[in-house]
Amino acid sequence: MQVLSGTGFRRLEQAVQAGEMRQKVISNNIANADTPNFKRSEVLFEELLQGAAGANQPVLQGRRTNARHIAIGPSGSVPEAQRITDEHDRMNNNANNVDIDREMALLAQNQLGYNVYIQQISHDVKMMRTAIEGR
Amino acid sequence: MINQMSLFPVRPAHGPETVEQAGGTPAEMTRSFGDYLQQALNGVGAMEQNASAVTDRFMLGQADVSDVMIASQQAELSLALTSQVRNKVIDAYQEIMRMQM
Repeated sequence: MQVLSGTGFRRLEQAVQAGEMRQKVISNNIANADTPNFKRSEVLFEELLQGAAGANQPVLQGRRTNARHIAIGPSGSVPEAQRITDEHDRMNNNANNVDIDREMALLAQNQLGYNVYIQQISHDVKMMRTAIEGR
Repeated sequence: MINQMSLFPVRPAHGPETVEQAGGTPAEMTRSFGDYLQQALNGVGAMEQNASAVTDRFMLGQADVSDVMIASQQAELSLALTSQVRNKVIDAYQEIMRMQM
């Protein structure tokens, strides 16, 4: 028997994992702010979720009869966070593209989002516990 | 849901004869309480669904933190209220069952 395994909860789980991963990636960017030839990385999750959840896209969905089929249109599954490297712009003369102020702002933004997700997970757990215990 | 709390209209108790008129027959009272509980449970379910929908919109950047917090607190409080009402009813039932005739 599995409690708390709905799509919404799995989405929250993935969001928290994406938040942890983003924290590590941004810390890595900040640590390498002066490393020559270093390119900064980012974590994509919300964008992938938008594609998977299809909040405001027309619902045109391919039917999958096998788990190995490529999904067409919004699928019910939750995407995993992905790490991508930003190769394009450059910030300094040594081919490094870390803007320390921007990284700090992203770090603070990620912290706030992480807190909200954790609070929502604890809300879900509390609702389930109230329903089970009955008080 | 919190606004619709009054089960029966409150009337001053004049004597034993008014007690029978207060809520109709026991069967009717039971049914109307059952309806109330059903309605409350549906309300709790709708609020929890609303909370998870707002959380999804927050993930996509379409809702504010305050909306998420308000929706989830509403859901939590209405579940707590419903479960307290249920507990009180069960306590009352057990009290009646223990009564000496």
